[in-house]
Amino acid sequence: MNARWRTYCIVPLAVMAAGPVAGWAAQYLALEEAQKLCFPGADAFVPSDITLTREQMRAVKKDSGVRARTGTQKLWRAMRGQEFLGWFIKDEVLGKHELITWALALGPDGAVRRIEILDYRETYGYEVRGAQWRAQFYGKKHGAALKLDRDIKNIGGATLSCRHITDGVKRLLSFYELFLK
Amino acid sequence: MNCSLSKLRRCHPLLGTFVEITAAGDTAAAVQAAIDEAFAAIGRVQALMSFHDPASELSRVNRAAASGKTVRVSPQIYHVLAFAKALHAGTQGIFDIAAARTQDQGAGTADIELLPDHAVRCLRPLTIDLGGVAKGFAVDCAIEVLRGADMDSALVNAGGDMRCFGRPQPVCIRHPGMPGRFVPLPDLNDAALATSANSYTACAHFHGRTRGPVRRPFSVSVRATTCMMADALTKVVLACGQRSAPLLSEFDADAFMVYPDGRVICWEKEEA
Repeated sequence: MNARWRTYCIVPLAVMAAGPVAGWAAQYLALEEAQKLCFPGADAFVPSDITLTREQMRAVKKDSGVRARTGTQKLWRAMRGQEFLGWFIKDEVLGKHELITWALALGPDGAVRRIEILDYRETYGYEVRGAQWRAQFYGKKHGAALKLDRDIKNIGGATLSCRHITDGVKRLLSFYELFLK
Repeated sequence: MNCSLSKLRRCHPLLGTFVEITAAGDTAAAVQAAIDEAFAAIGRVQALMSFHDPASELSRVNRAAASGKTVRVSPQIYHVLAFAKALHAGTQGIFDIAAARTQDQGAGTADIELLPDHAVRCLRPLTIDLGGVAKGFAVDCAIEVLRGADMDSALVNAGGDMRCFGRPQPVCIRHPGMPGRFVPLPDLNDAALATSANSYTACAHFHGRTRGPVRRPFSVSVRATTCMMADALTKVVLACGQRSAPLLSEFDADAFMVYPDGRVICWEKEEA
């Protein structure tokens, strides 16, 4: 085998077909799958959403240093019969441009049991807000998204920070401390 | 190929980024268990090698290095330091894991002394930053776990640095300078791919020998047998460009330099 430097000209994927925008989405877990993964022994997840007042939201911000996006926190009590196994909290944080759906599982004592990413979306450019463009891949299962030359699946390159998830954990732990404990 | 394989894809926030693991195996339960173990292995590397966590083993090593004390370390950190020292020597100092501010004082990877029984001593005060290799090492550890769990195939992608086995994987990399555009690369087959670029951020990489910042208009992707090797070599190619060819040959690696205008200059082995 030998090697040498060679030059290619490549038309980047998504430029020609999608116009001036591109995006990528992955669904890792449906809600029920995530719940089961976090609490394998649970036989019921009891919806227990809490809507915070502005005052309460400010309290969370003060305690965690992180501002909440929305006043309503989606949460479930994981149960096995009468036994309380812990809290399953579904949340969203801003990724690079779009919201990432993720879940935090807390034990009955409030200790972090598990963090799972449910949905990850990434889009670029103002045009991507258009419903028509979104329609081309939302709702599709992975493997069917963005059929161009090939699927855009395994993306290398610039590292994306997960700092917003870390902030989200802080915020939800304050939420637990103030309203669930 | 067995058609009844279960394939799962999971994502956890680790190493400061999003780590995605895809694996296929006999049953969904076995695949999920293997993926959980692989994430745990990455978590252990993070706990050992985080630069910013004062409780990490690396921080303990750095505290000892400041005073020239000898310190016992885990086999993992020892292994990574040995790799870094070898690459530092092999690149005549271009690859350096000493933090830029300690490089300014003349200290470098060569001042790290590896002693028997996993003991480490620094001959000059220096701060070690494993940012250029730890992520690749973590990916390698996860792959080892997945192989050990008899997965049919798997891919671990830690925020853009990845490694796979079992079946060829289509890969593309982010276009330097054009967010949202993806440049396809040849399929990855039982190999690792890492990418470095500084076109999106103001932060620059540092040249270990000239001590100067390295700014390049192109991104560099290196394909190698391990992700730690690929991760580390991207920094060398970013610093040396086409002059890195002998090194790439020596380490059996391929490189792809992607320019903003769509040109890809690649060093790739050809089948004879």
